[in-house]
Formats: sequence, C-alpha cells, structure tokens
Amino acid sequence: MRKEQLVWFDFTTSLQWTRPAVGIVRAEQEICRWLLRKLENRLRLCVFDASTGQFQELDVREAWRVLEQGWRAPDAATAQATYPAAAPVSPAPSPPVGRARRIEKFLRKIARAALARMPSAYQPRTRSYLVAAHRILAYAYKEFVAVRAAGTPSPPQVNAATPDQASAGPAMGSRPASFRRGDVYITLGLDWDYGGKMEALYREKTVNGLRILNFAYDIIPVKFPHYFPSGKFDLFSVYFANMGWTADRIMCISECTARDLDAFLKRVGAPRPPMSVVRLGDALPATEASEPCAEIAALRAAPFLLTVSTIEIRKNHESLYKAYVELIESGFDVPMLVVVGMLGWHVDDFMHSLGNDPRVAGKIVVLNHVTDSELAFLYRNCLFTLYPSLYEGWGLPVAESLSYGKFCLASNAASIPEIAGDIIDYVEPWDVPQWAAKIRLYCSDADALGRREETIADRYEHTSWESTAEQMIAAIQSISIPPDEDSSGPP
Amino acid sequence: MKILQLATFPIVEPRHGGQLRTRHIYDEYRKAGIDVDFVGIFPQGAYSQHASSDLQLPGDLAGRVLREYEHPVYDYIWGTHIASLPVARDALLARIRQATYDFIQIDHICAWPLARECLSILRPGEAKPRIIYSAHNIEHEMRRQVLRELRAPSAAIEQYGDAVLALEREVATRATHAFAVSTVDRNFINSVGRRNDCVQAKNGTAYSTVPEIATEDWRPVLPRDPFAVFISSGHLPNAVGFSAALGDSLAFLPPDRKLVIAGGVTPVIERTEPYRRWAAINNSRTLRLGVVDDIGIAAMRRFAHVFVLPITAGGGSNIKTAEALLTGAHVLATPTAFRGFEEYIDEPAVHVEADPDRFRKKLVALLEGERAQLTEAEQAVRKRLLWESTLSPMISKLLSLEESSPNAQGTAGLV
Repeated sequence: MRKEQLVWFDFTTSLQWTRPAVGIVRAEQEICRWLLRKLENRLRLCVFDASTGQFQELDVREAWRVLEQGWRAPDAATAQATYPAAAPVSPAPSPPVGRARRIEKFLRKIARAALARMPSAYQPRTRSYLVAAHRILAYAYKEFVAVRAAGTPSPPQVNAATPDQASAGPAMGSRPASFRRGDVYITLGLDWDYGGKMEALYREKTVNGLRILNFAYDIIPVKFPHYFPSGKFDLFSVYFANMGWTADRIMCISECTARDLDAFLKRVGAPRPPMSVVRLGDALPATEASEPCAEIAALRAAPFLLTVSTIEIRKNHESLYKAYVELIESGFDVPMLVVVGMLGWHVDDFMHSLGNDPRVAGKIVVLNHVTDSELAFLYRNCLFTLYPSLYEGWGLPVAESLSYGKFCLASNAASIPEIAGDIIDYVEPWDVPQWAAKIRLYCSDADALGRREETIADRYEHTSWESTAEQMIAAIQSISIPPDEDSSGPP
Repeated sequence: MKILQLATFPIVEPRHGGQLRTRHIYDEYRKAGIDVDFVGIFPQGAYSQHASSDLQLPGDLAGRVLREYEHPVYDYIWGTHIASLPVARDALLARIRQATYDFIQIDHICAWPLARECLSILRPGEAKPRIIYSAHNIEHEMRRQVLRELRAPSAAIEQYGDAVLALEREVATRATHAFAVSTVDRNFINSVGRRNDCVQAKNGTAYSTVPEIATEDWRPVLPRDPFAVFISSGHLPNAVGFSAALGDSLAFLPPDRKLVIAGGVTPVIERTEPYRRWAAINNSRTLRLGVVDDIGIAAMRRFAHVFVLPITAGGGSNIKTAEALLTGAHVLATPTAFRGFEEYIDEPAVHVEADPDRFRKKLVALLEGERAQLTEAEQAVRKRLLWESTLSPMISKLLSLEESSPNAQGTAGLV
C-alpha cells in the first residue's frame, strides 16, 4: 500500500450509540481499536452526516474517548489468563432511568401508535425518519448530560497507551473528510439506518476514486422478512443492492452470509463484488469481578441450562419450551432453563404461554436485564448452553459458550455449524423430540458432557479481535490500488 | 372534399397515441384545405377535456357487468352495444345529415358499428358518405395479446379476437381508401380487405410548443444526475414491456441513476406483481410522476439523457418512438418499439436491443456515458418524423383523388 493512501474507518455508529454495546457496535469498536494500533498514522476516522449527505473527518482523540467509555486500562494478568485477546471492559453502565427514560418511552408509544395508523406504504420511510430522529435526540441528550456534568466541555483525554495515534490525527473539530483517489474506506456499522449514506458512498467511489470495503453480518431481513417487523425487508433490500454497487470487496462474517448475499445480488441484478469471510473475535470483554444480583447468584444452587439471545421468533425459543414440556411430562427431572435476552418481536403468544403454562412454572426463567459480568457468571456456572436459532449470520452465543469451555447444543441451521464444526452437537431447529432427547442425554450422562467439554478445551480455537483486524488489513490491501496502477489523473 | 372523422375518444388536449394521431390527421387535413369535422364518441365522464361537438353516450352496458379480463375489450363491447341504441344512432345521424360529407373516416375500429348502423339507415337519395379506414393498429392481435396477459379463458380470447378481426375485415373491405401506420399493418389491411392500395402513413411527432424557460421549473423536480425516461400511456402492453425488458428489479441501475416514469403507465407499472416484488429497490431507482402536463413532458424531452422504449407487445407503431427520436437524446428500445421506424435503427444515438440482459447493460452504459450530440445533418434526418411529413402520403392520396374526380360523391346504394 502506498504510504499516502489512507485508510478511513467509519465511526458513525459508535459515535452515535447511546446504549450498552451490542454485537455490531462491539465489532466496530474492537476492530477500530486494533486498526488504530496497527495502521498507526495511515488510519483516519470519519462520520457520516445524514443532514448534509457528507462525510466529516473525526478527530482520533474523539474516537478514543468513545472507545474508552466504559472501558478501563487492562488488567493484563487477569485478562490474559482468562481471555487473552479481549480488551477489558467495565460492567456496562445501567441504562439511564428517570424522567428522560420515561419521556422516551412515552414518545416511543406515540410514535408506534401513529405509525400503526399510517398507510402501510408510508410506514417504512417514516419509521426510518423516526429512527434517525431518535438517534439525533439521544445523542444530543447524552452530550447535554455530559456538558452539564462537566460544567464546561472538556477536550477528550488522549489515551496514554496510544499517544502516537492521537497526535498523528487531525486537529480537533469536524471538517469534511478529504477522500483522495485510492484511499480505502471501511464501514462496519448500522449503515442501513443512515438515509442516503450508501448513495453518498457510491458518489465518493465514482467521483473521488475511493476504494470501499463493506461489511455484511447477514441478509436475514431480506431472506426471511417474516421474522422481522414490517419495513425491514424494504430497508435491507435497498441497502444490500446498493452495497453491490459501492463495495470493492465485501467482508462477510460467515460463509453462509457470503453465499446468501451473493445469491441475493445475483437475483436482483446488482453487481457482485468479491467477497471474503472474516471471523469475528469471540473473546469476551473481561469484566470486573463483581457479585451478581441475588436472583442470579441463587441460580448457582442447582444445575441449570442457559440460552442467550434476543427473544424473537427467529431465535426459536419455542422449540426449547416444547422440548421442556415433553421432558417434564415424561417425568424427567430437567434442570432449570435460564433464558437471557431482551424481548424482541413476534413472540407475544409465546411469552403468554411461557408465563401461564403451569407445567414449566419454575422450570423456565427469563432474565432480560443482565450485565456483562452477570452473563459471565451464568456462562461459568451453567451445565451447558442451548442455541436453537432458525437462522443466523454467525451465532455469537455459541462462540461465547465455547470460549467459556461450555458445551453448546445448537441448531444446525445456516452459519451455526461454521463456528465449531464437529466439536459440538447439533439438532434440526424444529425437531422438538431431538431437542428433548439430547437435553436428556447431556443432563443425565455426565461422561458424555465431560467428553464434549474436553474436546472443546482441546480443539476450540479462540479468535482474537486482533486476528480479526489482521484479516481486515489483508482485505484492505487486496483492494488497494498498486502504486504502478495509480495515476494523478481523475478516476 | 368534406370528411367526418370518427373515433372513440376526443382530440382536445390529446394524450395517448390514438388521440395524437387522429388530432394531427385532423390538423394536416385542415392545413391542406380539406374540410374536416371530428366527432368523438365516448362514454359519459370518460374524458374531462372534449369538444362540445363530441357525443357523450351512456357508459353502462344495459346492466351487463364486465368480467375482470374484459376491461381491455370494453371499447369493443361498448361500441357494439351503442350501435343498437336509438339515442346513439339519432345523435350521429343528425351530425351526418348536418353536412354533406364525402367520407366518413374511421379512426378507431370500435366506432365502426355505430357508423355502419347510421349509414344503413340513410334513405335512398340521401348523400351517403364513403368510408376511409384510418387504421392505427392491428387491433385484433393487440386484443388477443392483452387478453392472454390477463390470463383470460382461451374461449374468450378467441371470441373477442375473432370479433374484432371481423370488424377490421369489414371496414378494410368496404373502405374506399385505407391508411396504415406500418408496412406490417398495410400488408394486413390489404390482405383482409382483398385490396392492394392501402397507403402507409407513419406515425410522427411535433416540436414542443412549450418555451424552454417554462421547463426550468421542472429542473429541480427531475434527477440531478443523468436520467432515463419512460413516458407512456396506461395501455397494458406498455407495462408488460417494462417488466419484460427491464426485469422485476432495477438494482442493475447504480444508486445515483434514475429512471423517470411518466404518464398513465406509472400506476399500471406500480401495480404489477413483478414491480411490487422488489418495490423498495425499484422505488429507489425511479421517479414516478404519473400523468404530467405538456411543460413536464417538454422538460423531460429537454433534460433526459436516455429515452427508454421497452415495448414488447401490442401492434401499430409507437408514437413515443418518434417523439424520442426527435429529441436527439439517446434512444434505447426493443425492436418492437421501432416497428414503423425501421429506417432510423442505424441512426446515431439509437440503440435497439432485443435481449433483456443486453438492454439493461446498455441502459447503464448510456447513463454513465456522455449525452448524445447530433450534427445538423443528423437532426435534419429526424425532421422527417414530423407529422407534416409522415402524414403527407394520406394528404397526397386524398388530394389526388379530388383532382382526378372533383365531384366524387357516394350514394346510398354504394354502402
């Protein structure tokens, strides 16, 4: 790569994110952190301003401030002993409660009601406007709170561990990102939520010769729209079709996603850029050794199984519920199932059953406000984990389970077998009798479970975020213009 | 020479192809000194703009309810229905008797049943006009195609196809003069009319009368980047051709290139199943305007980079082809769209692609390339597309007739 060709990392999602990091945000931040270290002063940061359709350059120090929020200096000994490649993190801050949250909930309710009354043709676009408005308001509120707490705005602290990167960055303050021909741009964020971003990227590509590396997590909203709220199919079909035009290369998080995306682009007649698969880091954030809440701590008293994911129809908790009913009715003393996850969509009837079926009372418990440290506690103390998802672009909870050395009984759907191959055991997601049979097996046969855990310990290889970043750098190099092909003329 | 033109639409503010051709025939006749009247016969409320001399007749079918697939043949059903209505016959007879017409010119086949009834009522000794068949299309073929698209029962396709063909055969046989828009149409009329004198008078176009300054208001409405335009009426074959040539997804277009869809075809396309399948993608690649005024049309002709003519069905020849050619912009069309304009296929900035995949690739290439620039000589060739030129064979034929037999007049016995 020529020295003057810069790598631009899009930091829009992380800059605007106001809640505890979810998978995509965590991936963006972890990869950004490592690229800042590895690419040194060749890396620039930018954010997309949807109001102007322009990219602004972001001060590196501002990015470090965001990256360090909720993070603290690594306790190297602890971190390396447990999860060698993970950047350590403090427990996620609790969501703000109080008047602002109540107002937000009230406004959400009004917005949902108003949307429901609109003609369906107008709903998707209105929804995207509302999402954008919500992000802007949330960001403004966060800044307002920060300024009020500090008294006056203060410049971000330069991270001591990265003085070179910080000082190598541009001066404080936003200014238009000056993309030059041959520069490489990377985006891993929630780009579908920023109206006009893909079109702006395409313009930068065709007008300024920017080389673009896009990232694809999954195309499930297009492939299986019925798993999602209405409007997602439209949003994502346009997003991925545009990605076909913008990308010089697409990094997919699994072979399954690469296959799905390529088939989609072929089907709709969009260009099909080269794709490669990058394996996401599975090292969990090292957390402070804080005590879990009493409710969670009490679970340690007896064996329990664990399943972690948003509670939505695609995650297929229903198969586990039915398998539990089958086991209980057969007289098997099945351990408690702990369901960890936020409540999603299309599960109202299922949640009603779960809450009112006397057969599973006391046998299935749902926890939806679990901190990272509590989740770690649950992983460490469970008997094994379950993951019955109907479709995934990857299947992070499977990798998390294995990184704790815990066996996972998983669905054989989509990308999930890519995570661990034959190390774990699989079940067809809707095959309830098989779920029941295998849960019975691993609950009652300690040797069988033990052999699985030994295999995991011997053969499962952790993926560090550093390794993920190195794969990204290889992809960057693959789309860089070789010096002898470069010219000073227009693209 | 005095001619009464009959059609099943008005020609005030013409929009669709039939109206345009009929209106320009009317205008060219008058310019040539031919005394011509026009009477549009159409259901009440069907057209908001019409002349006071037009005949608006009851649109109902005496209680008959149309089946879904019968909408494309409503004009045939209605045209045969009103032929038996005394109120319709009396109204048209009154017009015919008002003046001594040498000819009644049939500009739409569905006006023929009523005209035939009226002519049959004329008493011996009354001046009986002769017939000019001004065919715009091979109607029975087009009706069969549309009915097939609508998955009508094969018996219905056969029934209506044969019925319309019978009308065409009758008029082609009985007409003193016949005119057609293309070689294929001319051969058809000669064949079914057992004649060899049908004259081809192609479809044409006219320069816009809208001043350029008026189109400036449309500049911000239209896409900033190079864009393509598809302007068409709500005639079902136009929407069929759109899907056939461009496919069900317009993701083959880059994110910054748009296809502007204008005219009555807009809602028809939006309702088609292929368009709805990837509606969000298609909406992101199109600007859908619906019916626009003359200023909007003039603006699109002025600013468009490419005119798209994805016609794969229907008969006749496409007036939009002539309009597109006259703009000097790139014209990308199917071979069907160039029916009647074959001599222009090898002209500069004209691109004809039969294969849908090549059609799409060509559209992208044209939108990413330079705007077409015609030389003066090339522009001069396009002037042959003006109505005054394309309709001159009709005028010449009629004027030569007048010169050779200035007092030619039919009698009741001839019809």
